[in-house]
Amino acid sequence: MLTSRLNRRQLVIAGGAAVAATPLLSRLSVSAQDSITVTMVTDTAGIGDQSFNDMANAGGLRAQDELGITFNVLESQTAADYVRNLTDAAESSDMSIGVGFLLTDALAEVAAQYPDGKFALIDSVVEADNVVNFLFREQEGAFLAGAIAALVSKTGQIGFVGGIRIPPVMRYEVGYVAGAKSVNPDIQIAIAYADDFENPDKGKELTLAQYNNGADVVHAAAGRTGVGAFDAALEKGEGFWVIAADKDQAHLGPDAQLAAVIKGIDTAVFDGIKSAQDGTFVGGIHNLGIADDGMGLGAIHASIGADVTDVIDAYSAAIAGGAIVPPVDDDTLAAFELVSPDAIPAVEATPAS
Amino acid sequence: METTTATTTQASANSGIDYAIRMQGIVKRFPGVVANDGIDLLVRPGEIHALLGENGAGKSTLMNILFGLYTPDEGEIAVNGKPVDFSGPRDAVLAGLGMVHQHFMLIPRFTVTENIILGNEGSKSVLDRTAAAKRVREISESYGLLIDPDAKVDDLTVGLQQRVEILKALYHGSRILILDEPTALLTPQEIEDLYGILNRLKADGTTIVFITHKLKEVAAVSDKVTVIRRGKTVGERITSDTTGQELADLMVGRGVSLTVERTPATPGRTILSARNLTATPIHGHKPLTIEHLELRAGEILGVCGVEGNGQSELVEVLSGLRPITGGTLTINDTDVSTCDPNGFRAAGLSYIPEDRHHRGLILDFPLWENVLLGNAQEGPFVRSGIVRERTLQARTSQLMQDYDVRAPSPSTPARSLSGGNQQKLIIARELFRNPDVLLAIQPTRGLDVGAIEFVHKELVRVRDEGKAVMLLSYDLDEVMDLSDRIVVMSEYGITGEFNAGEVTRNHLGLLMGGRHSDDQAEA
Amino acid sequence: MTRLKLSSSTLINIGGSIIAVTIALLLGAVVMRLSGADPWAAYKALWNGAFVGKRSIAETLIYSAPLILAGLGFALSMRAGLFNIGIEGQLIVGGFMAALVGAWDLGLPSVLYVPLALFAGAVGGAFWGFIPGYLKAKAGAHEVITTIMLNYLAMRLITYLVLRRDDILPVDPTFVATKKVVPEARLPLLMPPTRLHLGIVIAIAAAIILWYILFKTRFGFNVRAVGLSQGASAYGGINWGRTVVIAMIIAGALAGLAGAGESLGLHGRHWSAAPGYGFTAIAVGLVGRNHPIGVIFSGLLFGALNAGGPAMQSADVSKEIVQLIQGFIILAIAALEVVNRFPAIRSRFSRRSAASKAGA
Repeated sequence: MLTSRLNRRQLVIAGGAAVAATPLLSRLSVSAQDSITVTMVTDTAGIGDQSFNDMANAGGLRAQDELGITFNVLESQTAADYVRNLTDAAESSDMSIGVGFLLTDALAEVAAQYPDGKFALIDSVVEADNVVNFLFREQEGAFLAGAIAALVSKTGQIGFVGGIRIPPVMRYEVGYVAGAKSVNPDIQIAIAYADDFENPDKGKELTLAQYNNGADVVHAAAGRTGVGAFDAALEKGEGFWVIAADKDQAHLGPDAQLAAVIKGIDTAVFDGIKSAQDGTFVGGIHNLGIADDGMGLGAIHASIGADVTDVIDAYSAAIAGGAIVPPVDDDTLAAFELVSPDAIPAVEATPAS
Repeated sequence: METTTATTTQASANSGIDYAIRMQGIVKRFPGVVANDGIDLLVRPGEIHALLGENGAGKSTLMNILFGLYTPDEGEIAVNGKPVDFSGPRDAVLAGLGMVHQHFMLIPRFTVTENIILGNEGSKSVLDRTAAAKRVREISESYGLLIDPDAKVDDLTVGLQQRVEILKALYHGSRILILDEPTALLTPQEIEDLYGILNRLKADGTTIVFITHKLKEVAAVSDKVTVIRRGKTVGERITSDTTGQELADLMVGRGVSLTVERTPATPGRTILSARNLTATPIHGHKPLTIEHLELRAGEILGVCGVEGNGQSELVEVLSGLRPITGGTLTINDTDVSTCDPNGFRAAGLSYIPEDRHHRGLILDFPLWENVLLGNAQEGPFVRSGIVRERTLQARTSQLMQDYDVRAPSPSTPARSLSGGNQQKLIIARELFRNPDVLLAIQPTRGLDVGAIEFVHKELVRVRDEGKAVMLLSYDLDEVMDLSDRIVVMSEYGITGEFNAGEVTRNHLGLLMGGRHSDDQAEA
Repeated sequence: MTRLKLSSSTLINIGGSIIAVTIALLLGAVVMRLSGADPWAAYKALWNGAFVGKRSIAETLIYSAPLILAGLGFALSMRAGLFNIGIEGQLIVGGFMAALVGAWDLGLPSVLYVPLALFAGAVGGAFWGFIPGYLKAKAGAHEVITTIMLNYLAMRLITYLVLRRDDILPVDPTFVATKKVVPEARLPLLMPPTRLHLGIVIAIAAAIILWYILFKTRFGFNVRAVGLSQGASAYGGINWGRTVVIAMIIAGALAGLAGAGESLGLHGRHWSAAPGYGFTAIAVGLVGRNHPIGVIFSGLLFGALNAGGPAMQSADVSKEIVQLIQGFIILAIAALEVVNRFPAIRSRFSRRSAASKAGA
């Protein structure tokens, strides 16, 4: 208890960016192995969630292909399965990956029981020297989503459909609002939550309601619930857009997806596995954003012209360079100073171009 | 057709066949029971043949075999001289058999015509309703089975529903009609009508097998009777050559008394008294109104009437099951008008309900738990909310002995007992409390002769012990045989009161008919 | 006379349940074979995952505890004649209440805190059971409808409270859950280092107590009478409405205890994501023939399936197969029930067997 409290303080001192492992934490002797076994444990949404489980799985599969490791997946049916599956994973493999904030308690418990095991956690934090945590600065990608939504919208009204207002989703929301208002301070933004990550019907219903009230672009950050947003857009037809969250979901409606906020979970998982494979594994927190290639806006629809994408690129560069710091919660959003497209600080963008 | 012509007797009306139905040596075993153990049944064409036996004697099994619902383990069956081996009811219908079950197989929301043509819609995909209705009308008129072909079965009385079943059999071309306990649910008037219909059918050459356990019906309608007991044929008689006593003895296997022996009553004080009683009506019914009703110690009060004239409501009110909305009701001078059934019991009431299966017993409970029903207040059987199983089991064993309830043990489920034994258990449970007043509602319904004799003797014994007994029955003969005083129920009230012996059957019948007494007088 | 007697009908019931489970396992094997997996390896993994080793056995008991308690709740309502689909809602309300009390850090010692938190869970479930019971008794509202509605209500309400009311409640919107239960309110562990907690003991004790209540007391007699025959129980002077309401309160309390065991024993907090145990409980009750002792065994069976199920994934069988097998068990039980209940079908069976006997 005491040590973990101490760790937290040190982590905070070390700052949120990049790798925040202190020497104190990295006393783990890691012997490099030729081929390690990695087991990933999903939350109850499981493979097929169109979100972090699928992306983590993609990263694991890539590691299997490129690094020659053995990659297993244990899906969980109920919350009671987390500890059991993570224990099984710790027993049978060199590295265990927990996907999603729901596994936080369970991973903390198991990691404490297997101090010699290596653990990775996506989207949440367990402070222990055998756990590497991957967090994402969703607000950065969402800022770009808000900007493109405001640029493309013809009605001056856009929408946001969230799953449950947990911190990562909240960061999507406030980032989106900041981006949209930066482009058009007068834009109207409808915000709705399904209070559910696994309910596409609800997602469709909420999205349709926003379309019917005048919005023509809706950003859905709602896990599987967000699939319903595509249904809604397809039902309304041309001129109604969805911006996907977490990953490219164009297969759900190629001409309905305006763009997708890409969250680099797959890359994070790959990097985590790679560190275990080559013996460089250290516990700690990785907080990934645009600058780390951990976030970004991609899969922009082909019909969108350079006038729009240039603005997005400029914002992206400004965020990566630290000239724009998108808000992370309601307070920082209130304090956020809008940056209009004409006033994007060019200093940071120049080196890139 | 290998009929040994020559000396075969008078029978065979039109075809020269000896027997319309010939069942010989029929054996049917079920796990643990032999339901039919070598039964012979020979029915000549054009006769009404009664199949008489107690409940559980094997009558229904035999008829289900004849109708193709069961395959016999042994034995031969021939219909109209041809050996048959039915694999289902459809074969039986094709061979000219028709069956009217005790519980009708009708669809309540369909019309008479629709029910009749069901299963015989013809090959055309579109029903020719008009033609079908016309045929139904023709058949019904030719046999005096008057009925509206377009009426919904839902709206028909039980007697009329039975007519639909008979019509259905005739429409499907049946010349041999099997009726399983056809009078069980009918009023006396409807029973008379049924006899008329059967005689007309007979006159037209239809062969009829009439399954019953009631001696009176055998005498009233049959030409010949086959008696079975415990799965065996024990005798075949020409009805006119036998007596009710002989048939009863054959059926039960010992000498039984058919008449109730009793001395004149010596009525004492009033135990139950009702004045200006009204009660919340059953949904859609008229409200019950009883101006005056008294039960006195040492007498049996008979309640007669046609079913559905407020009897259920009366019984529920007198037993505490239906809230009273007005008037007074006292038992032993205690006002019970606001009591629940436990209060009525505490005041001295016992009650034999008419429906053993849904009121009197919980069939899945063992006998000892059924004895607990209504006796679960704190006392010998329950202490501080805990059931005293051993006391209760011992008491149940005792009651089983005293009342001759035949069952392996007090732990036997009530379901596995015969109707008679179930009724004995209920009587035992209701009487061991030593009540002051006993309501006996249709206490012999569905029982066989032996059990009826027991119940009747028991009612008289209870009366002679000085208790008040109310006997409610839809069997007018039973009411007249047992009662010291008779009241008639009609239109949700009491329309007449008589001392036994001071009223005729006909007069009671007229009062029972209420407003429709004119029609009944004609019939 | 408190020993268990095995009547012939009990034996038939046990036999029926065993046959149903066997049929379900065979059907599961067929499905696995069709999907290209090796059923033998899968069942071996299931067996190992559920029964081989201290940890596996502990896991089976862990999964069984809430199923037994919730199954008892369902069984009791069935005995009273109510098809209580609301076990799920009663369970999560109980789990939530217990976790709230446990997370509040009241500064009590374990001996007081654990019973208090368990009691809070039971009260929460009992209240959620009382509502449909009362509506049924007073207004005749069908319990299937009301309990389904109450399930949704419970889920939405708890989601709302954990997400929005962290101002007044010890909840953690970050996790969509309550805060962590303080150690003093956690159920004691029975077999460290496994996470086996007191829940299974509570479950088995509850089953035995319920058995006693159902079969040895007047209240139990009333419940069973009301469930089997409304007419006869009214005749026997049993107050139907009162009996139904009390039965539903106890059923809800049992389901609430199931949830409390999860919150205080397993997770150390209440997650708003519903575990679905309330629905499995229906199967547990049915397979256990709504008999408390039967429910212990069917709860252990379903617990073993849940505990061993994840292990089947190592034999390349997806987690859904386990659910499929559970579904098959329920179907097989239902099919046997139909054969038992409806004489027409049974006679058809006996007719066929009689015919085949005659032929032989």
